Amino acid sequence: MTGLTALNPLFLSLLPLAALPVLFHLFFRLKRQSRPFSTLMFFHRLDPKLNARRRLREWLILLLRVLLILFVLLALARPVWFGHGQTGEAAVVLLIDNSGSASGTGEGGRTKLKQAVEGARDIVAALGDSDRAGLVLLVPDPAAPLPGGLTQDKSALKIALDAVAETEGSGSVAAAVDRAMRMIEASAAAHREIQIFSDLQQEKWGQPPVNPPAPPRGLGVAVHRIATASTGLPNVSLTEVEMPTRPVVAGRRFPVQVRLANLGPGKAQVRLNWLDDAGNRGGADLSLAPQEESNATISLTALNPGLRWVLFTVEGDDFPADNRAATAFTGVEQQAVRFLGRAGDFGYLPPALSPTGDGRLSGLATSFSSFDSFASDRGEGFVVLPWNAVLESGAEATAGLEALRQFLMKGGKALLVPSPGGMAGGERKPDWLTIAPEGPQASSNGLALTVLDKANAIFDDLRDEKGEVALRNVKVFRFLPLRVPAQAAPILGLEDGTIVLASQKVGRGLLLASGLAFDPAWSTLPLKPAFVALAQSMVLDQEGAPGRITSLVAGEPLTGMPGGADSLEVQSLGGSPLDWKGPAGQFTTFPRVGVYALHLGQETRWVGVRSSAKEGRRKFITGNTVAALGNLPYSVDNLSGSQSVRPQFDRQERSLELSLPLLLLAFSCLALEGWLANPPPMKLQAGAPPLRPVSSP
Amino acid sequence: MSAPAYKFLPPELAERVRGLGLAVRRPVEGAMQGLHRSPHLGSSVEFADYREYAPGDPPSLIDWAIYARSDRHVIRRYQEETNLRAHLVLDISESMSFRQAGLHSKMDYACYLAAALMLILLGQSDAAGLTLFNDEIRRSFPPVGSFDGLRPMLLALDEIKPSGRSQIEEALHQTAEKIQRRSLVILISDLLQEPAGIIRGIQHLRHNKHEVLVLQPLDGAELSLDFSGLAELRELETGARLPVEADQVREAYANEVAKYLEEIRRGCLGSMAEYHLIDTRTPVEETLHAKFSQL
Repeated sequence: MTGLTALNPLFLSLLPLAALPVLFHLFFRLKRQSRPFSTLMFFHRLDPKLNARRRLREWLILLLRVLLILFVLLALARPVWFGHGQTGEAAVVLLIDNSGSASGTGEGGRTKLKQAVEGARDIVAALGDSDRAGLVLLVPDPAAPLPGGLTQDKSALKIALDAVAETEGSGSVAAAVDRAMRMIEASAAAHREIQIFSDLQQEKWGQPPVNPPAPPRGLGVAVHRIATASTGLPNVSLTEVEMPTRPVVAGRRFPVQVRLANLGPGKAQVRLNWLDDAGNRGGADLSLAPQEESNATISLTALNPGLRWVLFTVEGDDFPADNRAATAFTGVEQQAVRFLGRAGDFGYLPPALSPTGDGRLSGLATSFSSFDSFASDRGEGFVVLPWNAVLESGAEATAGLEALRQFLMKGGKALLVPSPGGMAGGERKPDWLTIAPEGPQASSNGLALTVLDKANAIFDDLRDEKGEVALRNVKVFRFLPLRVPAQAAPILGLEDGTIVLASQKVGRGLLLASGLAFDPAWSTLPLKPAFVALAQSMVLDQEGAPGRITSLVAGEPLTGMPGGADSLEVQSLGGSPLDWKGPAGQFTTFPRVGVYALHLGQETRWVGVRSSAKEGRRKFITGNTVAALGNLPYSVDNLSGSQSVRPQFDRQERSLELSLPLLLLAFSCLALEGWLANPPPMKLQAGAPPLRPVSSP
Repeated sequence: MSAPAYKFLPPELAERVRGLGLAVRRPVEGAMQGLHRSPHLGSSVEFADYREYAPGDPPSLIDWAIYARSDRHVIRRYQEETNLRAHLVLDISESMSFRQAGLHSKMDYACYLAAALMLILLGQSDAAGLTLFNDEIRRSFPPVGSFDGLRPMLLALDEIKPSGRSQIEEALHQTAEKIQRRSLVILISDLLQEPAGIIRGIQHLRHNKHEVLVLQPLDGAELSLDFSGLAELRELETGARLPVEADQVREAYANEVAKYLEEIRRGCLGSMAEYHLIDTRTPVEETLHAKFSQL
């Protein structure tokens, strides 16, 4: 920072007060009364220039009074002339833009981040013994330990600078400046500055802050702009990866949508590679026209159950920091679905769950057995049974019902459906079954099926872009209205409010109760494409559901995590390594692409991080206005490849406090004004002895 | 004396000046026999000197007693006594209206003096005239020897309104040229002009054989500044303004006034003119008694 800066700028706004003497002068001039006098001859004889001298003295006094107020106000404003005078104690915060764009090539062939770090090193080397410095990264990087606050330890600063590495994220300029200012404010040094090293990408630095920070007194901001080399090569950003929203059955192939955008002006020929956690890899060649967005569908297979991840990389373009994405999904084992009854009791449900019955296509293997045998074999899997089996058996003591209750209590899932042929049983049901069907009803014109619990996970595959569940006008002609108590949850209903699908918890298990037989005679639902997705969603295990896997853009803050002092452990599963352990409140963000497990107490979450697509945008601030810095006092200079910032910093670090000189000037004005305003009596002419005063003759 | 109650000659003043007299140190010419010496030597009772008889002299003037003792023909000469013709020359310029510390304005004070002096002159069988001037002679009254003749001049004094800028030297030159016979010229003015010009005017009068009496009435505030702080002074005659820090110039001002008065005094002395500085803080009667009671 060079030039003049006022540490107390409030006093500068009072500078118009310096005009007060002029106003007073005019006021008193009007008030001054004239006295008639017989002759001015004696005054002119005394000094022919008496009037001229007096006028000159008056104007001088006026000028001195104006200057006096001016100097006092300026002294109170504590002006500091940076770039001149002596080197005093300084507090310097080095703010390095380590966002994805900084990994691009700068002039001279080195990455912009390298140039930034070297510039910062120059400044660290130029620091005096009494100076303090701190380091702030635009994208917080848990892998790069920074000194806490300002330090005089140059070696610690150099080690921290050595650890600064490229990221693939976008940082918040406002947050970084805020961190830097909090560091600066903790210092009592008169000379305080933030040294910013950045390529000034428009995307980040061109946006004005929402809440512009008030600059601390004496703060100067020096922005060292690192120019970006122009290669002329196209740049393709990996903008989004769309994974299945529900667990993937192990062994089953599933599609993944990868969205790419060509941000460059030329046609791009790139290859999209993928690598999964099992070491399987593949790729696809893609061609993108300038400014074109394109979707690539990649077919993947989850070979084993459990958390799985895939790393996507775009190869063949100019800029690497926006080319990667890591995503995670849950693989579940092939599940058995046991139908307790005859195949005809379940309508279209068995083929919807498993067209071949062996699980090859859907990962669900279906089998049929009698309800009576359920008590003896006690097999695993999802159980589907008709209402008749529950209501006909009736008595609590029957072995089948007891086996079903225990199955649910242990965490099993079951679905009760009416037989397409109709209900033959009575009203008797076990006490633990709180949902009860009423008598069958029919509607010749059909009633529309409506969603009652839109947030339910069984609808995840049916949501459109806006998140709305699309059932596509399903009409219901026959149904069993369900009586659903308060502790049970309605899921589907009819347009007249009748509930036809609900769930109730039984122990750790879940029981779904349907009032619809999945048969075209009952409703048009089995004829709709949504039926397969809905049926499979009801059956599949929700453990490790996508809701527990968070997708993040690198550099974005992680939300939904409890802060405070709870111990958080971040474990790297794939992609860029990051192993971190500490209080959860201190964890900042994921700066690079990868899949990470977050262990907080007993809870585990997974995060898939992709690179920030906007880091590839090649628009940089070329002028001297950096909107993101708001009203901070800053200056912008260009940092070329071989240029050192040290001479400039040395010059900037010098400062001259002008308050004292201004106060001395003010006192001088005061003394001079006092001398002029109270002149001594006029001296008699040299050699002329004073005559006898004239009195009455 | 039965004078009417004029403004500047009230009965009290007329009564107080009774008995005062005014004399001249050098001979003056008068039309009647009076108290004052005449430049003409003749048949008077006061012996002057002798001179040798010259053909043409009346033989009756030969002092035969001298001839008997010294065998020389000499003529005995006597100093002729004559009455006084006095011209009061009164400054009526704007500066005369100033009054700050005095009992009267300088103009009023001068008028009192003039009226009293005219009364004194007539009381001793002299003649008194009056001339008013500022930048030139404005009014002029020839000397009169009677109280009735004094009346127009006293009325003229009543009518004076000080105005204009004074040109004392010019007025004195005009007066010198105007008065034919040797007379007493009484100049009453504040003389607030450069002394050199005033002295030249007085010398002109003296050159014309006139006796000159200078009376300079000044206000006390003119002699020493009587105010403090900053004031804007406005000159009465010109309207010129001058801001003055009184405390700063007080001493130097007083010194300058003293120097100026000394120049006037020395100038008058050098011109054989009688000079009196009069402070208007002093009552008129006291001034008259102080200046004219020796006679």
